[in-house]
Amino acid sequence: MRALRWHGRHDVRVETVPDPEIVNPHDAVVEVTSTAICGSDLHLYDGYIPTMKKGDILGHEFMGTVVEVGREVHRVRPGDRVVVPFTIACGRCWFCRKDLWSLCDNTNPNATIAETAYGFSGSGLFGYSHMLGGYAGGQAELVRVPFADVGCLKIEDASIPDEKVLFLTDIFPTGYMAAESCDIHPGDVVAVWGCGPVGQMAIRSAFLFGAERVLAIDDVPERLDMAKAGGATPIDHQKTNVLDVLKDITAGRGPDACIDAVGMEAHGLGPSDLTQWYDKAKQALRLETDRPTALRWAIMACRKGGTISAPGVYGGLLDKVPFGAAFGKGLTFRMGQTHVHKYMRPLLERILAGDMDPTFVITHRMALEDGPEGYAKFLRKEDGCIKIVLTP
Amino acid sequence: MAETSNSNRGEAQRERGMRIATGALGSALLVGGLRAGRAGGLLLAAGGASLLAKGITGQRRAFGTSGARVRQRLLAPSGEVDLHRAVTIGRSREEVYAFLQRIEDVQRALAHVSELRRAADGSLRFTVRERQAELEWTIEIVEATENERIAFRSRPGSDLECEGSVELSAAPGDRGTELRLHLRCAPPGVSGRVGRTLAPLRRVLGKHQLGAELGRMKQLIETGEIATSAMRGEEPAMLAMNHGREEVHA
Repeated sequence: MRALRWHGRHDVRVETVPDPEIVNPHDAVVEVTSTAICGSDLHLYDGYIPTMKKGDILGHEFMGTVVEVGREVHRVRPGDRVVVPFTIACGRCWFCRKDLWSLCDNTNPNATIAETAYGFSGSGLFGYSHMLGGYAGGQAELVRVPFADVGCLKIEDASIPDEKVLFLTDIFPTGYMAAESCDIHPGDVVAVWGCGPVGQMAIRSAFLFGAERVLAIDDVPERLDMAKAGGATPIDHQKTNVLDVLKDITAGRGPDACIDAVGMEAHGLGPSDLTQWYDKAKQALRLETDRPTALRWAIMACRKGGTISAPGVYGGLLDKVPFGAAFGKGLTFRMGQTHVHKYMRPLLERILAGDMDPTFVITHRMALEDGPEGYAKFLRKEDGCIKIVLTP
Repeated sequence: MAETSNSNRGEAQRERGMRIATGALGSALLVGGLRAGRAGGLLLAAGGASLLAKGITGQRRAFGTSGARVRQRLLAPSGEVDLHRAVTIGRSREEVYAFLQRIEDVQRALAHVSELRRAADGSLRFTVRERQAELEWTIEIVEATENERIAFRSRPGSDLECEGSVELSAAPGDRGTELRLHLRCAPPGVSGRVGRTLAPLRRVLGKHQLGAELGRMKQLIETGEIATSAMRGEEPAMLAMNHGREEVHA
């Protein structure tokens, strides 16, 4: 089969590899009909995520048709059209049973590596380094899906195009969970840092939760435009002082909740932001692995007693985080990999009911063979690129 | 050198053969581990280094009494390790104890063991095989209290000298069973400067390896399979048990 493989920093290639098979009794093999490039794939592309090996197949947002099932799979069968969450969950451990699917105990075969870094390992992920399982990803023609009964969401209605449901794999539940974590009450103002696809989903989800107002912070014009189209007030951090503007809009209170949809590869927030040079220097010296610019600003901006919601992604170590400010204001932090399994069915219902159409975020459609070009375009935000869907 | 009898000579030859095999295994693991790199490779290299050193020095150390040993003495020239490792398994003590009786299932969890067989007298024979090298040890169950405790020790003459126990207790709330493994091993000795360098590495290797294998045991008991990122391969034999608790779906 053809698959998009990582070969180092800024080097991905579509190559022919042997097809995957059923390995464990709860597996299915899915033929991919649509897949996407995620913002977090850019961390892999930029070489920031450790434990990658040349040849690793990328991709964790995919859907398709079941072609084969293991003998312990009973809820899906060959021919079913399915959407697959990017986190792999067993459905039986304490965490799965508590709806904390991305913290599954039993799906990371390399848990020892993650434990060294984190103390404990969460679930395995598709296509996202060996520390997080080493599973081949979905930017390919075929994928082996473990625990298929737990991890496959069936799409019964053949008239629904792939694009409409593809983002149930990751970014829609991710933005939705980020908004849910804000604990939004009537009258609340939510500020969202980062207007990439996850930020866009978070903005619209915040309104689904009844936010009074959503403030969207970025510096890319088409992303701010897209945020505005979703009902948010756009704030260009290159042109204004974000803290002042947030305080002004909220008449001195500060936003009730702040969503950091930027994560570890934050760019600076403007010419006066010296922290970007600090972070880049430390990263180069390997004294810091993540650049928490957006997180710092979110902490400073948030109202007293408010919530910081971080869908991420963070990988390692931060520096110079104003934890004193967080403590002094009594902030709540909520974060983590998305519990996709918890949200995928309710959000499918939302889509079918017409409450939300995630296709708005797609700007480019390309063949899988053009994936390498897609990565470059996505990284450089060229050509108005916000979200790319690939077709094998 | 004094003349030895035939049986002593045979013993010496076996000893020499074992040292060569161990050294060969050790150097293979060391080179392979260093080539592989990353955390996993380094652990492999550490294990290889310790086996290589054992092959070179060929020293064995009688397993001493516990009283005099300080737990987890990092720089013990003997390389003795004293490990405690626990895992919480979401099943009853009865189910976990029953799993531990099924040797074919226990072996699947023990990634480093090539073969595990129960002899007629109830003892367990462990074999680790890597290419041409082979290590063996025999474990005797010295105490077995149903659903509570299994205590064991190695038979004298085994390649690995160890003793330990597995204890089961109810975990709080709805969490299932706490399984606690205590293992004291005296790998045939590495002494002097080499031993002092390798002992901490061996300790890390032991703890991580043990933790990973308890994790595999938990996976087998809770899900019936062991997680793997392999894309292809023969389907492993089904776990021989009724999974009991139904899986949860979103």
